[in-house]
Amino acid sequence: MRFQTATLSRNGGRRDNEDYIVYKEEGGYTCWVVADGLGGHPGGALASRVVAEEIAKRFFSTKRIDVASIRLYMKTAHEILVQQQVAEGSVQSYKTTVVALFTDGRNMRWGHVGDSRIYRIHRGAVVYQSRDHSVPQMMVEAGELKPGEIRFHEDRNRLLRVFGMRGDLQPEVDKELTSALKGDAYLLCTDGFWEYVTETEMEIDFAKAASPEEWLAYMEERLLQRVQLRARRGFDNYSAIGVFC
Amino acid sequence: MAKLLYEHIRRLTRQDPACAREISRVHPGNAQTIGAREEQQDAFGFSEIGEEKSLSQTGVLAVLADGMGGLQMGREAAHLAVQTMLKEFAARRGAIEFSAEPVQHTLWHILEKANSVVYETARQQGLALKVGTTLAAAAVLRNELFWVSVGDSRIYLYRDHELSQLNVEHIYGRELDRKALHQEITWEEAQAHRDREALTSYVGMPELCEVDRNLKGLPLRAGDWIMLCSDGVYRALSIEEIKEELAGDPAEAAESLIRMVIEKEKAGQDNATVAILACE
Repeated sequence: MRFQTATLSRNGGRRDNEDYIVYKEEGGYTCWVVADGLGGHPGGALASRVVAEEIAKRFFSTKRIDVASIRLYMKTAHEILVQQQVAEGSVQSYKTTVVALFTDGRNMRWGHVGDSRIYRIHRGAVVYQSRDHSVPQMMVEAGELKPGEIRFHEDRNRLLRVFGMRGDLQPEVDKELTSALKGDAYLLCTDGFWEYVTETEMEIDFAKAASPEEWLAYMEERLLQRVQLRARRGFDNYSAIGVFC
Repeated sequence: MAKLLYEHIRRLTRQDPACAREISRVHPGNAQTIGAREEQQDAFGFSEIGEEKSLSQTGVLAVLADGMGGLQMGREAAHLAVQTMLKEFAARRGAIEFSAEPVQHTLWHILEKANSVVYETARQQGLALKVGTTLAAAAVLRNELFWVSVGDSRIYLYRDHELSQLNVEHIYGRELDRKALHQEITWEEAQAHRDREALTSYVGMPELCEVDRNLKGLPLRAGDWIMLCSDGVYRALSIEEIKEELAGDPAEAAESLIRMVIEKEKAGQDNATVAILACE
């Protein structure tokens, strides 16, 4: 299977960009990683970069996409952040979300921690959306909130799982092995991106796009218009990877 | 318990579009007002909807055009564009040699035809480049939506209480926003620019310029509504006000929307037109 990839990562209304993207292909194996470093200080930028690079490095050294291996790549990266914080006496916080997609050329598997998301499009429609590890998502599971109400919810930034948190990390890795199917597409993105683009709009722009670059460009245009409408001066970094199979 | 929860979540996060209810019928609705203008320069039309095979074989088409008032012959241009689209759609979709033609190709060809008809008509009157109209067209075939749009009329998809705009508007404002993104001008300057709403693409140019369209079908669900409207509508009503009317019978909903536009009594209210395809 040949994949087309486009990436996007912008400061938004912030001075610094704490999001980090990795896209690497080697010998038919590919991994795509999006990470959103937490906090408005250098720790976040470092955390997202370290974790994303470590996950990619581990993947390419083993080239395995079973659930246990992916959990291991993520737990290893998590340990690095934990150790760093311990070594510095917890003065600096190194925490990040991650969403990662892997393929051996025939099958796909993904995993995530936090509220960066992965969407899968199949036959033109969004057929999969990862669940956020956040308070609003828990409220949706409990029937207290509708899924569409997660966007702009006041507790949106309260995350339940992040890399670098105290204790063991429980990465969520999709148990099903998904075939790489021609015509399918994937979108990996940070919350700064999905907050401003709805799932229906992702489908609409996918229908219009000749390439993943065009797909991201159409969605980014919606994001920027919405940000302007809401006069959000300090709006978040936003990052996305679009993959066409 | 954890396993049950997991299965429940798994079902929530995975949806198979093949399981979505098939669209069995499409119901049209439309309404129009001249507003505070002297002439109605909007035009609209629908293809044959009642026929058995329209939805499953030919496709159902809705078209809307807003003649450019600042130029000449706006009314004629809009009517010519709509009539050409409908005529060519019927001819093409009904012809055996085009039976396998993907709908998006049909839309492209008939749009090109509409453009050359308007341009040629203008040219023959000695008015080349002085006649233009927007054009928005949406076709439903089985469970998929296809569209083309040139100008600043809008095509919306209404689904689950959300109104999503399908097309980008071909106005100078987009270029200004791009400049603002690259910090060549400020966002405030982009918003306040007096030429922000000038059209950058329209039907009636020597050749089609920018066209908004989909390349792959957009899957539809039973209950979806597709709404075409001219700027007279969306400059008078907010998104929330529009959403409130999109329920029940599409013909009544269209009338209700136009009634609301009229009741706003906006100074200089432009012609306003709404054309709806409600999928059941």
